[in-house]
Amino acid sequence: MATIENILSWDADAIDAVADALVQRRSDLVGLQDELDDGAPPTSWSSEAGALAAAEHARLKTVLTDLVAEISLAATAVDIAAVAVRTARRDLEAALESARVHDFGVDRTTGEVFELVCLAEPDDDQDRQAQLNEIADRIEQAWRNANHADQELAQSLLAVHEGNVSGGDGSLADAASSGALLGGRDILAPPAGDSPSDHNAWWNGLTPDEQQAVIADHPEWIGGTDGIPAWARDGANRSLLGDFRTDLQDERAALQARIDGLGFFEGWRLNGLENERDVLDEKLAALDEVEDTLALGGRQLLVLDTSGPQTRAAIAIGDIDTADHVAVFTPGFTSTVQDSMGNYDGSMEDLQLRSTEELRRSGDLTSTVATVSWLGYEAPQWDGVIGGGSVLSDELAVAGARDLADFYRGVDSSRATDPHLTALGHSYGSLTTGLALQEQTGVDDMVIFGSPGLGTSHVEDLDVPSDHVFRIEARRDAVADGGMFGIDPSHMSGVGGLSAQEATIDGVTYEESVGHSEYLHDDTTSQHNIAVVVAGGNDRLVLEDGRGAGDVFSWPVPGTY
Amino acid sequence: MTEISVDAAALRTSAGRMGEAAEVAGSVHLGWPMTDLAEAMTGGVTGMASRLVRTDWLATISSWTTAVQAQESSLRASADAYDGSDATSATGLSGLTGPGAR
Repeated sequence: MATIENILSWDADAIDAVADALVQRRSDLVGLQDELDDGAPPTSWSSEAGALAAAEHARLKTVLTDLVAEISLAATAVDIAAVAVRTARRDLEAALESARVHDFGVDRTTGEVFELVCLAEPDDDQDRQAQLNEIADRIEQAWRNANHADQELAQSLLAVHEGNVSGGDGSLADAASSGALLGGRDILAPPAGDSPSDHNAWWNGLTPDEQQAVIADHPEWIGGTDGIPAWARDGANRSLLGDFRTDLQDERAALQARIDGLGFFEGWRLNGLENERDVLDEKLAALDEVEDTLALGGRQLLVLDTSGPQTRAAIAIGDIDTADHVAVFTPGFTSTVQDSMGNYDGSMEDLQLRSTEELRRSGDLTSTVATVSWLGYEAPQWDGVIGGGSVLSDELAVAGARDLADFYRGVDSSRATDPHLTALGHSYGSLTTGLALQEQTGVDDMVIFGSPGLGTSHVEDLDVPSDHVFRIEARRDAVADGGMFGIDPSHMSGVGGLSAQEATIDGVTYEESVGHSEYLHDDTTSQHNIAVVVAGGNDRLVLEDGRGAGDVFSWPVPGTY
Repeated sequence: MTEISVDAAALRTSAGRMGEAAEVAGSVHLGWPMTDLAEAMTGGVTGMASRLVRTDWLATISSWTTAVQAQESSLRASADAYDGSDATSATGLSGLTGPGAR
């Protein structure tokens, strides 16, 4: 295996020149077709000597045809390797430079990244560790990509050496074409179970043709993989939609056949089978909802998974890969793709519009906004109120938080420049959001609304810059008074209160949001506040602590949290 | 009786074209690109593989060129042989006279 030092010495331009030279030589030999044809013994020479001459001519033709195919295979393989090596070396150099700039050392034998300086502030530990891990991931993947390029090229050349390449029975040009097709390489599979930055580094190491091949032939590798650019995930997930639908329909047809075939004494099985069928119907309905939402245009399908009890999906409005401001909304109790995605998507579309208006109003005429409806976890439902997956338990939020944290990290990792990233959480979704933000995610702002708790009683546990955590509590929202998961956020020091009441700003009157479910309604003060945060501003925020009578009862006892 | 049909001029044409093919092939240098490839990727496994292919290709192009030149020579020799045999036959036939000869 080549070392980091070896890879840094590899010359992609020289490899390119070799490919060009081989192409020229192939061309010179293919140009001998006329000589070869004219050099055949005349067919009228019908004697023993003539037959021997013809046989020798045929042998010479075969040797040359095979040689042309070999050169063509090698030219293709070398050309592909040049692209891969250039990319890997670029990525490796960039990662090493990042290490240098951030005062990390790199063992160029093992790829290990280590601290060079002692930290002045213990609080810097987590951030430094995250930086170190990301750089280590990038070095690891660039190294892996470079070695894959080397091994694949060597494999192609060894196929030539072992005489496994045939030019066929056609012309020299035909042999050149068939040889070129054999020069492709096996696409390097993604690293298993690794971080978004690992996956991004792997993706960047693929050639553009390989990336397209992955989308077409292995969409399951990237559709739900954080760290992969949104355009690619969207392409892969749209490709998977049809396959998922077919699989579910086939499964449903088989199940229906079993139901129809139940014997007289098997009635006791019916209920269970019908429940299974209902689940499949819900999943098919979820796919319908996803397709209907995508049909509105300007959207990216970032998550699609029908493998669990509930379908999971995430749809973005705008371009996650280029937007300056990205907001990710996580809803709560009773949310399902089949019944909720359309509504949430509508709310996110309104939010995108209002956030963009805030930018334009502030004089920013070019920045763009993208919003995401993230139903990438299985939110608790009514039929699970009693039990482990209950809305009264944090179990589903804990599971969902891991995926949500990766999603946030993936947004940053998949882009050359980090966007301004805002996390939005409603109801049980605010618990999922709060738990996710207790990890390092790169989120810049957080707004929770109608929250029963964040999974912590201390804002310091959230990895969000101070003064960038906000809550909104509407009048008559009993859920927001619960304080079920950590203390009531209304009482958390360091969490800024935003108004849900009617307000007039610069001559425009915004309506009040009342109850648990109006926070994102268009033209409300609540939505206005969220839009201002998403747009990265705060001078037009309408502040208000939002505490009501219900918050008196949720006041935590000092010393108990 | 075996029928033999020989066009010596066609044989010489074929020979000439094979000679041209050998000349072109002999000028196609397959060695140095593979040497350059090994030098451009030191420390990797491509270096070893490219050196093996270099050896193979140099041998192939050399033996092919030699064989084509041999084929050219054989075709020319065959053409000369058939011309010589025909001339001998013609010489033998040209002295015939007698009843029916004109």
